[in-house]
Amino acid sequence: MTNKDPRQEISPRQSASIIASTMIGAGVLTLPRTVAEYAKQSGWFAVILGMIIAMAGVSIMTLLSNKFPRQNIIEYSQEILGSRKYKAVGRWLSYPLLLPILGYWCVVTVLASRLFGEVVVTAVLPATPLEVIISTMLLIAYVLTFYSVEVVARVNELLLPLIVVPVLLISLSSYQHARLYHLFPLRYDVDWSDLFMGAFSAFSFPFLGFEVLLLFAKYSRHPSVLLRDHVAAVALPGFIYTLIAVAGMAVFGVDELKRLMWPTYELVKVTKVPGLILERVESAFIGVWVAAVFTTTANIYYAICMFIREMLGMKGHRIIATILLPLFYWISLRPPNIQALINYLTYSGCAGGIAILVIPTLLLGVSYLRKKGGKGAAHDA
Amino acid sequence: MFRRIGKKPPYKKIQLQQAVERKREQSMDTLKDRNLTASLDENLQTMKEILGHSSDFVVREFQISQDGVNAAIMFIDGLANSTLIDQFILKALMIDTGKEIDANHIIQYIEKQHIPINEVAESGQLHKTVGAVLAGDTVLFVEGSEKALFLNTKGWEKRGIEEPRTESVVRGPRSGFSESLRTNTSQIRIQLKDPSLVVKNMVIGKRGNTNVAVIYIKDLANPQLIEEVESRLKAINVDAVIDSGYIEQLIEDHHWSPFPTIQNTERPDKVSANLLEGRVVILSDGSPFALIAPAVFTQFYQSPEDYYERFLIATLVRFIRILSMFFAILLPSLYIAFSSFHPEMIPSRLEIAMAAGRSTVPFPSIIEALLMELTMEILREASVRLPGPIGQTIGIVGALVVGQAAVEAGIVSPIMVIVVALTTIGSFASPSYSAAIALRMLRFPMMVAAGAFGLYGIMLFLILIIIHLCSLESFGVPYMTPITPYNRQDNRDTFVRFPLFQLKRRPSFLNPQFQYRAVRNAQEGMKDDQQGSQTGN
Repeated sequence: MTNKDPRQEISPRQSASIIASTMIGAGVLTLPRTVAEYAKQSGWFAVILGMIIAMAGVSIMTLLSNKFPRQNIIEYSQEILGSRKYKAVGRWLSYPLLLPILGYWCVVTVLASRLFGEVVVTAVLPATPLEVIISTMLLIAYVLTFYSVEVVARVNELLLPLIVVPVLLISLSSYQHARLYHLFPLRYDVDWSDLFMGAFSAFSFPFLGFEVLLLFAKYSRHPSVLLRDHVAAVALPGFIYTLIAVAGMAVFGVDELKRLMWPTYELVKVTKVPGLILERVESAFIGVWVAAVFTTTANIYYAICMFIREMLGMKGHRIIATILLPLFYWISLRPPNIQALINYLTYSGCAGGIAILVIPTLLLGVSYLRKKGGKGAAHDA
Repeated sequence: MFRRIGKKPPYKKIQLQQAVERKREQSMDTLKDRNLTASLDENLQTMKEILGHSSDFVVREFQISQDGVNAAIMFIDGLANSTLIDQFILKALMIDTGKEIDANHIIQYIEKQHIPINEVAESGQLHKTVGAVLAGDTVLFVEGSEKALFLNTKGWEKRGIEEPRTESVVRGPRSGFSESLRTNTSQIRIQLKDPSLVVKNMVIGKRGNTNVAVIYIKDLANPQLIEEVESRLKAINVDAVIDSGYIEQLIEDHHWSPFPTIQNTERPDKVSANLLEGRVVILSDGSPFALIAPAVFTQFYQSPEDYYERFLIATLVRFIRILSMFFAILLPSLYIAFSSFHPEMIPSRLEIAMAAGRSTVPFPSIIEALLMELTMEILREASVRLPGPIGQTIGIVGALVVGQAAVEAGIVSPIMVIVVALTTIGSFASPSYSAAIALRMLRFPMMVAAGAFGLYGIMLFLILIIIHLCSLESFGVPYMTPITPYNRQDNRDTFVRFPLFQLKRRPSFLNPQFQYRAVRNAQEGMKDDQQGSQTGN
C-alpha cells in the first residue's frame, strides 16, 4: 500500500493547523471548571502541565511518523509488529492494538458535537431541537469527507486564524472583570497528585485531537522538519486554554467556578465590548465556536474514514462516511442528559488519553528494538 | 500538476448523432481536401458555388496588362477596403504592368513586382481561399495558375478605443479593449515592448472561425501552464465564439461553482501586469474582454489601481473593498439573525428604535429582507438595460422612492432600507463585475440560512462556502492561494500591498520561469551603484 496519489501533499504549516484546530474544540467550554475541581487555584498550572503532556504525545507521534515517512499508523504498525514472511501476523497483531483509538475517535467526535449542540440549544437557540443542531453539524463534517486531504488541510489553515483571533480577543477582554486575589493562594490545599489529576483531566479532553496526525502525517511534504511545527501547534491551544483558565479563575474565583456548567461561556457573558457596538457577545462567541467545533468534528470524522479505508484496503471512503453518518447521529443521542454526557466524556477522554499516549509509545519502543523504519528523518529532527 | 485535463467523454449516443450530422453539414471542414485547379473558369465556378449566394460577395474579372492574361479578384464587400483594391490591385495590374509577363511563374511575378500591398500569401487549397475571402482578404486568381494570392485588404468599420465600462479607475490608463483583436493586441504591445511577448493565433468555432489569440511572455510564464491553456483551447469546439465568455465557459475548471475560475478584464494595463506575473491571456476577436488564467480569489478585491496609487493608500482602499465584500454577502443575513434570533446583541436603545420601526411590518424579518433584496436586484437589472442617463435615474429614483414608500407603507422597516442600501453599494465596490455576481448570488441562501438558524446558520453556510473555495482550483493553482496554501512572500501582495520596491518576487504559485521582478527604487539603486564603484576601484 503505497501512497496512491503522489500529488496529495500538505505543508508543515497546514499540518500544524490541522493539529491546532482539531484540538481547539468543544472541550474548552468546560475546561476551567474541570481543572478547578482538581487543582483549585493552581488550575491554570494544571493546564500548562496538560499542555506539556500533549507536547510529549505529539513529539512521540511525530518521531514515529518521521521514522516511516509517507505511511500512516495502519501501515507502519504492521511493519513494526509483523514479520516479512507472514504479512498477516502484522495485521492481526496491530489491528487489536489500534482499535481503541478508532473507538475513542468515534465516541469523542459525536460527543463533542453533542456537547456543542447542548450549549447552542441552551444558550442561543432555545426553540431549536437539539437533534437539528447535531445533525447539521455532522452533515457539514460529512460534506468535508468528500474532498481530498489537501482540501481538508486548506480548510483548516484558513479557519484556524478565524477561530484563534476572535477567541484571543474575547478571552483577553474578559480580563476586565478579573480580580487578582481570586488567584491566590497559589498552592492552597493542593498536592502534586491533585495537580496531576487536573493536568490529566485537562489533557484528556480539551487537549486531545493532535492524534489525527497519526493519519494526516502520511501526506506531509517535509516529514523531517515537522517536530518544531507540531510542538508549536500544541502550544497555540495551550496558550489560549491557559489564558481562559486564568481568566475563569480570576473572574469567578474557584468556588463559584466549580458550580458553573459552562464556565467559558459564562466568562464571555460578563464581557463587555468597548464602544457598545454589540451589547452582548455570547452569540458571536458561539458563532465563532461553530468553526472550532466543526474543525474538530470534521477532522476526526475524516481521520476515522481514512482509518477504516486503510484497514479495509478500499480506494475511496465515501461509502464509509455515509454509513458512519447515521451511526454517529445515533451515538450522539445516547447520553440522556448533560450530566451523563459529561460523565461519558470524562470516561472516554481518560481511556482515550491513555490509549493515545501508550499505543504510539509502545510502537515507537518496539520499532527501536526491532530496528524498523528509517533513522535519518527521526534523528535529524 | 494539472489534474483536470481530460473531461468525461459525452454520451456515445450523442457522439454518433453528431458524427452523422457532421457529414451532412456544409462547413469549412468539408472543403479541406479540395484544391484549386489551373483553369480560371473552373475556380471561379467553384467559388461562386460556395459563396455566390450572397449579395456582398464581389467577383471582378479582368485582364492583366494589354495583351491579357485572364484574372479575377474576389472579396466581400464591406470587409475589404475598396480604395485599397482599386488603387493597389486593379490599377497596379490592369494599367501599370508592362507588356512582358513571365507566363510560367506568373503568380510569383505578380506578387514580387506588381502588387504594393504589405501582407500577401499564396495557397492552392480551397478551404484556405474561402477562409481568406471571409476574413476580408482579396483573393486573386490568374489563368493557368493552381494557386491563388491572398492580399490583405482588411478594412471594416470598428469602434475606437474608449474608456472601459466595467472597470473604471480614478488613477491609471483610461484606454480599454475594443472588439478588434488587432487593436487589442497592439494595446498590449504598446505597454510591453518585449521581444519575448508571444501572440499566438488560433481559429476556434466551426462556423464562426473566430481568431483567438493566446498571449504570454515566452520566457516568463510556466511552460506547463501555456501548454495546458493551449491544449484546452484546442480541445474545445463550438459553432462560433461570439464573445470570450464562450471560451471561458468551455475551458474553466469548475462549471458548477458560482466563483469564476478565469478572470476577465477590459483593461490592457491589467492584462500587461498579469502577463508580467507569468499568467496567460486569451483574447478573442469581437470581444472587448480578455481572459486571464489562472485566477485566484484575490481578484475579488484587487484592482489595477492598487499598483498606481502609493502603497498606504492602496492598502487602505483594499481593506475598504474587503469590508464591502463582507457587507455584500453578510449584512442582510446578519440583520435577519440579529432581529429574529439574537436581539440581545443589539444595543438596547437601538433595539427599541428597531422594534418601533418594525412594529408596523407584518412579515418576519427574513421575508422583509428577501422582498427588499429582490426589489433591489430588479432595479439594478433594469438600470443596466436602460440607456445610460435614464438607467441612472431609474436606479436612484427607484431606490429612493421605492425605499421611502415601502417604509411609509409599513412593508419594511427603516433599518432594512439602510441594510439593503449598504449591501448594494458594497457589492458595487468590488472591482470585478463577475466576481461580485457570485457574492450577490450567495447572499440569498445565506439569508435563508440566517432565517433558519440565526448566527449558527450563517456560520454553517460560511463554512460550506470556505470548504467549496478551498476545493476550487484554476489551472492547477488552488483558488485560495496565497492565503492557503500559505506563502509569506506572496502574501506581500494579498491584503496589504507592500511598497512597490519590496514586491521583488513574482507570485510563486504561478511558477514563473524567473522569480525576481526588476524593481529597484532610487535609494537602493544609488547604494548599489556606490558599492559597485567601490568594488570596481
